[in-house]
Amino acid sequence: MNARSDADETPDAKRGRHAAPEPTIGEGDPPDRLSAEPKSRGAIAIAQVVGNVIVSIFADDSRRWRLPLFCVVIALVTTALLRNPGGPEDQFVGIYVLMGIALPATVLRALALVGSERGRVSITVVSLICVMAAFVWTEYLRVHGEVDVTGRVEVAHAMSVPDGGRVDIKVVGVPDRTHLRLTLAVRDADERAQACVPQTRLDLVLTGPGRPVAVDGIPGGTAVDLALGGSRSTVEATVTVHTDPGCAMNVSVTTAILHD
Amino acid sequence: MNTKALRRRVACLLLVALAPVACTNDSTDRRFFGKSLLVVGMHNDLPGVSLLENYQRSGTDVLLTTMLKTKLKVEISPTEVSSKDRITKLRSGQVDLVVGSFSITPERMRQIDFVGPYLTTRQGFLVGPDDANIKVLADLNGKRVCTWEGTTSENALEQLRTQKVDMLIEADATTCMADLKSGRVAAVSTDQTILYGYANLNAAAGFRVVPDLTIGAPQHYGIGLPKGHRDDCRRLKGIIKEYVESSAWIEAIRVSLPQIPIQAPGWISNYKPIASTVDKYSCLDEPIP
Repeated sequence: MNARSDADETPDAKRGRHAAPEPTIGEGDPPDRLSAEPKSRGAIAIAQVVGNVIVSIFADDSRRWRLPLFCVVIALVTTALLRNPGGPEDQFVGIYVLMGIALPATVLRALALVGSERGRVSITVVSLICVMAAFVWTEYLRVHGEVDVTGRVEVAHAMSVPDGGRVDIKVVGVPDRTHLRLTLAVRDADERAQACVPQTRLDLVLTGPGRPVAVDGIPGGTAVDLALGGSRSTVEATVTVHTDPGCAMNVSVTTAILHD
Repeated sequence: MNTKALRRRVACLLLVALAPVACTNDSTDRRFFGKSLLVVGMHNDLPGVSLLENYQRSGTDVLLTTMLKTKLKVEISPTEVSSKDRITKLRSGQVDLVVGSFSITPERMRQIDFVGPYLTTRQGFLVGPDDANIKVLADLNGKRVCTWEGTTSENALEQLRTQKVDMLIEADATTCMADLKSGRVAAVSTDQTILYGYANLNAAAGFRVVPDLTIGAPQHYGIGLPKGHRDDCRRLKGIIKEYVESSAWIEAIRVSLPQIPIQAPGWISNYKPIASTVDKYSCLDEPIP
C-alpha cells in the first residue's frame, strides 16, 4: 500500500525524507502553515490507528480483537437485563429476540468459528447492531414502557354490589405515564343462587384532576384504555354496576397497566 | 357391447349415484351421546311446568322434551328426578339429560354442562286466600314461608331471614303445597313459572301469585347434561337457540301456563331468553360476559 518509488516522489518530498525538516517561513506562506502541517500529519496518524482498530474489531481473527467485542456485547446484554423496568412481558419480546441474535453471533466470533473475513465482518455488525438496539429499546421502555401497577390498586365496596351500585378504584404511587389500561372482572356474589355475569355491564369514570374520562357498558374481562390527561401520582375511578335487579356482583381489577 | 357388460356399467353408475345418499342418511344423525334412546330426568309434580297425572305428562318442560325428540330423532324415556338429585343422577349416568326447571348457576356449571336458557323466571310468592293482604316483602314479617331443598330458591330465601321471616324447607313441592293448603305456611316461594302453574291448578281455592313481589336474581332454566359431550352439547344448543326465537316457545307458555300472559304484562320480554344469551351459558364451564 505504501510502496511508492522514489521516482514518483516530488523533490520536496525527497528533501523532506533526507534532511530534517526546518521550519522556515517562505514567501506567500500563510502564517499558520508551520503548526498546521504536523497537526495534519498527527490527525492522519490517529485516523489511521482508529481505522486499523475498527478494521481489526470487525475483521481481525486474533484473540486480541475477538475477546473485547465479546465482553462489550455481554456487558451491554447484562446491563439491559439489569435495567429491565418490569411490566407486561410481551413488551420485552423484541428485546429478547435481539439479545438472542447478538449473543450467539458474538460467541461465534469469540470462538473464531467464522472462517471468512466477510463473514466475521457481517457477524460483528449484526451482534453490535442487535445489542445496541436491545440496550436502547430497554432504555426507551424505562421511560415510556408499560408498567404493571395491578398490585397497587385499592378497590373499595366491591363485594355483593347490586344493580346501580358503585365501586371505588384507586391506584397510588403511579409512575409518570399518559394512559391506564384497566381490566375489570365480574363474578356472581353467590354462585349457588344466580348466574348474572352475562347480563352485567360496567360504567367507568376516571375522577380526580383533569378532564373526566368515561367508558360505558364494559363487559367483565374487557380491557379499557383511559387517557389520564397529564401527569398524576394517584389515579381514581368510579365503577357503576349495571345488572339484572336482584343480582349481586363482585367486582375486581384483573390488570392495571400504565403506558404512554 | 354385450348385455353383461352393459349391466355391469349400469350397476356401477347406480352405486356411484347412490353413495352420497347413503352418506347423508347415516345412522349417527339419529343418535345423541351415541344412543338412540335417551333417559331424561324430569319432575312429576310441577303443574304447568312438568306434571305427570293419570299417566299423562304436561307442562313447558314436557313440550320442550317432545320438541327435542323430534329434532334429535331419538326416543325419549322420561324418568322422575328430584331437585336435589339432578346433578348426582346426571354425573352417575342414571339419566342422560335433565329437563327439570333446572336453574343455571356457575357452581353447577363446574359440575355439569347446560344448554340454555330456554326460559327465564324470577322467584316469587304464592299465597292462599287468607293472606290476600301480602303485597310487599314487609308483609311477610312474622310469617312462615315454605320452599324445598336442592333449589336456588332455598339460597335466595336466606336473605329474608334478616327480615324476621320464618323459613320452612320441605322435601319437595307437593309437601310445600300441602302446607299452604293446611295453613301451616303463609306462602310458598319458588320460581314464578312453577307458582303460576300451581295457581292455575288451584285457582278455585283462591291461590294466587303476588304480582311484582320477587326476590333474588333471575333464574335461567337450562337443560342439564353430563360433561364430556361438547359436540352433542353444541348440537343441542343450536336447537334451543332456534326454539327460543320461534313461535313454538310462545305457544308452549300460552298452553301450559295460561296465567302468565294474563297476569304478567310484558311477559315475553321477561320470560323469553334471546338466542345470543344461549351462547353465553351453553356448553361452558362458567358463563361468559
